[in-house]
Amino acid sequence: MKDIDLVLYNGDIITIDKHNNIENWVAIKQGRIFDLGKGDRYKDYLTEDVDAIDLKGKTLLPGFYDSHVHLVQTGLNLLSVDLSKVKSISEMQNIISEKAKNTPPGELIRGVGYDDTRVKEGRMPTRYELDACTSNHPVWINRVEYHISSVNSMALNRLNIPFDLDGIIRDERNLPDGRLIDKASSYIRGQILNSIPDKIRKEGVYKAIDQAIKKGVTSLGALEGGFVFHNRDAEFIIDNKKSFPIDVNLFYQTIDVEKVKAKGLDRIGGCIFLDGSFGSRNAALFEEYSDDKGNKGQLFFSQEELNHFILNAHKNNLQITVHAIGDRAIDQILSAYEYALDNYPRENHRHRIEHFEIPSDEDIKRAVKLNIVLSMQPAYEYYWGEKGDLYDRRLGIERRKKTNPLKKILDSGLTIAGGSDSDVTSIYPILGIHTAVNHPNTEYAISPLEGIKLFTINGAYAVFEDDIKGSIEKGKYGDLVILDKNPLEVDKERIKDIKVIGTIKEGNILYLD
Amino acid sequence: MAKLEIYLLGRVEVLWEGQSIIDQLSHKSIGILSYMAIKKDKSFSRNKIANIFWDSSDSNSSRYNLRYNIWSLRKIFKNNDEEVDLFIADKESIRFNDEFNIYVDAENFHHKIKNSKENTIKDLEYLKGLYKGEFLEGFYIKDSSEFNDWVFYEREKFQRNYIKILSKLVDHYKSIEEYQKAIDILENMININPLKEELYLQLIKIYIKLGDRDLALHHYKRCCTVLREELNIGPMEETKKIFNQIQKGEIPQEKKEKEIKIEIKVKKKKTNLNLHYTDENTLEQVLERINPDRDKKIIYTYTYPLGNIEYYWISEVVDRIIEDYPRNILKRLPKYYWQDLSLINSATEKYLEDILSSQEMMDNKIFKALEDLLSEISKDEPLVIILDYVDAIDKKSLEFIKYILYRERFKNMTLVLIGKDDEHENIEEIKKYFKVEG
Repeated sequence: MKDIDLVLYNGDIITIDKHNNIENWVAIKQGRIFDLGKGDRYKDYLTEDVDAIDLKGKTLLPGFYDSHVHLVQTGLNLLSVDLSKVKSISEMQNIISEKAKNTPPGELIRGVGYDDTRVKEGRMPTRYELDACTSNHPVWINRVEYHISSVNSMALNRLNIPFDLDGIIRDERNLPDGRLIDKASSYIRGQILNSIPDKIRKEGVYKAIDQAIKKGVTSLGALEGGFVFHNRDAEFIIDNKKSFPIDVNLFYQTIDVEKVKAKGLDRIGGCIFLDGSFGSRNAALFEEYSDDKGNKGQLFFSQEELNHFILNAHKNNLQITVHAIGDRAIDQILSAYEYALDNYPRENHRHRIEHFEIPSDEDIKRAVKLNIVLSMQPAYEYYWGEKGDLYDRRLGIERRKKTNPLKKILDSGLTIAGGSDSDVTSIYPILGIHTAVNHPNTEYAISPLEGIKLFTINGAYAVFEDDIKGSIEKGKYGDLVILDKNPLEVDKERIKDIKVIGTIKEGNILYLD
Repeated sequence: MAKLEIYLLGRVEVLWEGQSIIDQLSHKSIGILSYMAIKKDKSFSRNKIANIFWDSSDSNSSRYNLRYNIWSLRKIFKNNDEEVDLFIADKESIRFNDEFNIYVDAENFHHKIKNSKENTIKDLEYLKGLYKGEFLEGFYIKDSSEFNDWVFYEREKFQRNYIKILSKLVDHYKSIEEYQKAIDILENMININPLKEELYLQLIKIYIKLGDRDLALHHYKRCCTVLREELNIGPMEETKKIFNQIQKGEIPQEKKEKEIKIEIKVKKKKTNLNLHYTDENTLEQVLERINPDRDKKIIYTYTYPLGNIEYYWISEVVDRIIEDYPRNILKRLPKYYWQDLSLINSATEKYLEDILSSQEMMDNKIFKALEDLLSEISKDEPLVIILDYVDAIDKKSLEFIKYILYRERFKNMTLVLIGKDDEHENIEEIKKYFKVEG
């Protein structure tokens, strides 16, 4: 048979088609699935000039979707200095000094993950402390959640900061001491991210994509631009989208509907922060935090402002998504979607909510009525869901048992698309599937097949691509992942140990271990 | 007497007899000149200067270094015809020689503010013109923390004064209904601090005064987007209230005739830069006329009716230069050209290397960088730039053309504008101010 590019045979092929068929072989022609089946018929395609892979009993799945990735920042962070484990300012200084030795003079050194609450001094470093590390490089240290930062003198000199900005911390001489909060930190962040040339973005993004490929990802949702991030990140994705080896679907994190339309995009939003996070105790809750009496978190939009944005984007026929973690934020976005859909009913809008971490039963019912797609990150439960972990500390035992209720949501008929929120957690769909199946709250655990769907067909559905990707069916893209074990057959506790041994994009082998 | 000019507001520049000599000076010599220039009548302790610029733990070595730098400066500024030394110095102190003709923009700025309690609008405009950018912008001496702290201190002082001047000018132009001038200054202030909501509010109010509801709403939206994307906050109640009033039509719209008032009355200028206007059919004849010996380099650029993509044509010019000129020539040019032009054209990044670029989106930086670039490349080989076609040029690039026509920094360049519509507003705009060869 002419034009067949690749044949994979002798494996367990979990097709994720609507009948959940299992096949043994698949043939790809011109990037698409041409044929598949059981038995020996694949031999008809095994001519001399056809590439063939004997799966030797290994498992083949549709290529994974990671529906929630901050790709550019993940990439840039891979090029940055990890300060998440430092316990003191002097330890941080040693790491930055070492980095400076291997960094060409003048090149920015960026430290990420610094947590002032975990260093013994309990504060961000001053510019004098950073100047002691290097006088040849601009240095920029980000607090773990990016809202506070420090720069050294060289960086401060180059940034042309408006001195009347709120949030410039000063020394006894009334000179800026390098520590920046509030508007000043946002301004500096914007300036620095804007000054990072695209060649650096490219280096980081390709590194991140390479890691994603090794985890079996063939499509991802890149949530870029806006607050905490930078619009140049989104522009970078627009400019380079076609050259990436895997599919990258951009979500432009802006409220500027006209801009998104002008760029020919058909979706808007991403991490448009309706509230904060549990880590920062500013995810918006109806009840106070268990470890911070009186604090119920924060809503960053008024209902009126949110309604206006959602209605405007909806009327412009865009797919919308926003970040809502706490139940109060979830209530707010559901109200906004209700407002828009009541006024302008639209079928098949596939509007989404990112995170949806602690919905009430009523919220789930409202989401069903609105037919909302939920973009959730099961691996949060792996890191934060056990007793004594973050959810437990912030929310207490009762509410901890209500987080990420995957099964309840799927049973209600809603679609969940799985993601990592990289680099909050790394791009690692197998871990996401494992955690969804082994949810700390067993009543919310889902089956391995449902877990796989989160990261395949549901991911495709969440970006209107379920007709071309997300399952192994004739005519769909030849996007595949080879696993060393079958997730439907191994002990569910061992799913996370499954290795990706091959990743194929439209019939091209991107990775083969 | 030969004149020494030291410009500290913006990127540092030192002119000697009208020629830039910045490349002949060491980094520390520039620092010493700058430090002394800001108070050019003052006598400075040699020890103090030595300690600022060199490691104070070794006082002998730092004094030797200072002596060497002073000697180098004296050598550069020695005028054979006159026996006037730049410095008057003894073992303990050093100062500029009063007899030396020295101009310092920052000192002039400071002097003007200090000696005039109630600055006239003319004074304020003059001061605005002096401020070309941040004090010693981009200038940094590693291992001289005291000097760098001094730069921060002075930079803040100048910036705050500059903002005050701009605010006064905005108030003035609003009071006499010269709204376009107020708008231009507010845009400049937003460039400096894009997170200041009050500036957007003032813009919105001006457009309401002008009766331009659409632009008022545009700036409201712009304000909301900036606040949301940079700070994740919504606008102040006052801003929202005005927006709601505009939406509901509660704000009376004044007649648009007021816009007529904002037109600047200028005398048509004959520019030294050769400027031609033609259509496609007669381009060859124009080129025959202006380039009879075919010894001029021709850069052909296009614009397209793409809507108003800002800086499109400027970016096109930069692209053509990068494509048409050898890399080794471009590589030799000062890096700030590329640094400032990278704001609009990422192709310049290959000439940037590791510079952390300043990102202040100020037109004058981009304009100045391209002007300098064109000036540099047309020095040895006369240059003809053809713009095909001017009807579709973006507004920023049109402003740039006016900018270079006004400033007349180069004589070796000819600009040929190809147009389809003789009465198009773009060519009309240029013809309004400049004499154009037909």
